[in-house]
Amino acid sequence: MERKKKNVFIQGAIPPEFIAESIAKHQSKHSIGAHNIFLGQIRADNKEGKVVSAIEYTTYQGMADQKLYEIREEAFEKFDLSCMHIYHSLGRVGVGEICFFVFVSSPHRKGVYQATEHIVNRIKAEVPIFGKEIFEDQTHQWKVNS
Amino acid sequence: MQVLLFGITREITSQDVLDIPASENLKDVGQLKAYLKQKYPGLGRLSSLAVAVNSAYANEDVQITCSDELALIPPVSGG
Repeated sequence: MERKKKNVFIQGAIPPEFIAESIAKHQSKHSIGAHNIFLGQIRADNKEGKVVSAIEYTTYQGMADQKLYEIREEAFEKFDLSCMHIYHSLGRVGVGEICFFVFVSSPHRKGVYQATEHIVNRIKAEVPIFGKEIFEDQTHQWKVNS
Repeated sequence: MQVLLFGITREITSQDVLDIPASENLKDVGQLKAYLKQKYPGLGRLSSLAVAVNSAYANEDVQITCSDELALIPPVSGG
């Protein structure tokens, strides 16, 4: 079954209410027995005396959508999943706010841990999303994922 | 030939899109990267610099033409 490319990008921070609503939407899907969620939160990193106050995200959207589609398709093939949702912020997200939300569901718990880690790692390594760390003094530096 | 730019590569070049004259006669990804690193030395100092051809990461030997969508991908930092 060919799945459609889904809309992943959200302008600004991902509100906690959005995450709660996403969980609620799955309560009607009675074949699911396990959910696993990864949330990325903006950390106030201290870099040589300067403290990060926000990250501003941009993307190459055409390629990002293509990569995310490949990652989704591969995860559905590899793991026994019922559902998978991926959301990432664009624009400015302040420290303490959520910028990344991966939500994986399956009949049983075993696959969801591995699937979540696999999906998160691939997105962080391959999807063309670029984070500009804005320091409290408004200078900036471009983040590089380790 | 046009090359789309993102993230720090926009700051290094002060442009969003690079127009490369056909007279440069660039045939593959390796030649494109060498040309750009020579023109903008800051690109060569990045911890990684990938080229995407039609929305897919491309090795140095991939052939390019002016009808391809080309983009420079600096280190990614999503998540």
